[in-house]
Amino acid sequence: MRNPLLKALIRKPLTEAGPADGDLAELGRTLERETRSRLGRSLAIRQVDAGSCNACELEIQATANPCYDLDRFGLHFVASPRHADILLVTGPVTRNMEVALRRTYDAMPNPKWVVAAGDCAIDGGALPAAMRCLTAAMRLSP
Amino acid sequence: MPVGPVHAGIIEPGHFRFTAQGETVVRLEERLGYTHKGIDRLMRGSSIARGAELAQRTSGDSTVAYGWAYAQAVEAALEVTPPPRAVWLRAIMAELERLANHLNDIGAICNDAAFALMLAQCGTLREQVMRAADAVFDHRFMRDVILPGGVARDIDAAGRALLERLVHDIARDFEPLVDLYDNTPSLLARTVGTGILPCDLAAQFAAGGYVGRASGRDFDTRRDLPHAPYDKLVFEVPLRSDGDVNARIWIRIEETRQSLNLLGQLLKPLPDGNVLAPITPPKERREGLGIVEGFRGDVLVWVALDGHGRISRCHMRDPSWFQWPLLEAAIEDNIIADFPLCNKSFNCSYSGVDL
Repeated sequence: MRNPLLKALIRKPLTEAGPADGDLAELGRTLERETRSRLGRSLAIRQVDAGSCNACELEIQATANPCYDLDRFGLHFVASPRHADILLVTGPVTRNMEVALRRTYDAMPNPKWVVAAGDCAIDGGALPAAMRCLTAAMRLSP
Repeated sequence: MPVGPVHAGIIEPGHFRFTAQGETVVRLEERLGYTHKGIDRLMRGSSIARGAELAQRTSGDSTVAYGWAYAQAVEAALEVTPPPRAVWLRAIMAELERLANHLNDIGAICNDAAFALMLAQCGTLREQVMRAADAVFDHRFMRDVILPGGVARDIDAAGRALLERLVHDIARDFEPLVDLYDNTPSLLARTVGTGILPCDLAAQFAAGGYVGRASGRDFDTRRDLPHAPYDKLVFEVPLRSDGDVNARIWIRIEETRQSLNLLGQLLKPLPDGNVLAPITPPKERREGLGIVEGFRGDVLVWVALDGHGRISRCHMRDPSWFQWPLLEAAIEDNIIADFPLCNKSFNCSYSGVDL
């Protein structure tokens, strides 16, 4: 126990600096402005897997690892949709997840946004003709 | 007590029904199918190349294992032998995938026992593996690199040096974490004796991977059904018979060490030559079978080709088929609070089973 904690005290932080300029930095500033004016606080995200292959989940989990530490930008993942501002959807929205996804959305307080993450949620990705999928999580939003 | 399909964490959807007496689980029923995309149906009528795309999108954490097993099945059907260099590169990718998943899950299991330090440390190591994969194979999950007939991308001297450095760094940083796990009694109190899977059940269900090997089932495709390049490599298959969460963690720790060792061997004498053999679709019906040891266990792919270069049927059997029912048995008589721990120590694929 002592060893990794001591090491963490003397070495540089593992967390890398955020983008200082460029499109990504600009996007960050815009997002911050919008959320502050609309919500008056940082963003709470509820992620729902609507049929992804689990690669998106692994990568979204990775954004919370010490290298990226998404929390420091005011973006944090929450367990309950009641606490969420954003519904982050991955996967092509399978028919079997349709009701669960809709209920999660309905449980969120207003104002709320839906964000599609990954190719499958955006346009079906490599599964555009999937019989069992509705494709495009965006359909959820009224 | 119903749980899911939407869970608290960032994980796949599944529905669990617990019957509990006080805190103790007396019965668990799993209901899956939420990620059913109809992959078997999509495979029908697809071209061989499109099939490879679909196979590598079936279970994201096992992208390489699926890609390789599918390629093996098609190559068996077409009687094509991939070039030695391609096979070597496939094994490098497979071991990188195993390394990334084992590192991530060792941390995540400890995190489910409220020991977040381990997840932070292991997550950093896993990130290094993913970045190396991205730098060398141009994709963090190494997706669409394996094609029937070989691989799409060769690696150069710089890529090899980068991977050698990665193996060295991970080997150096991983051992202190193993000590940390082994010397934290409060963590071991959660993992030892929790979620015991009896050896006879593991044998009866032919459980592969760390689930089987932690419960006395001595089977590893790489050793028992050897295919190139594993027939020329030296490695050990760890085995335990205590079958609890702790045993599954130790199997994964041991396999991480073995993968690092295998990567060292694979990177030294990389065979020369091209990396992609041409494939010509047959004019007759053909069938082929492929089996590859993914991080979770043996991934089996069967493919049938029609006479026009299309897939008439294809089925991909994830190792989780045999592990999901065993989780129901392993959780019995444990407390509900230990379910996340047991579930993560199995880490079955939802998408790979729902198809």
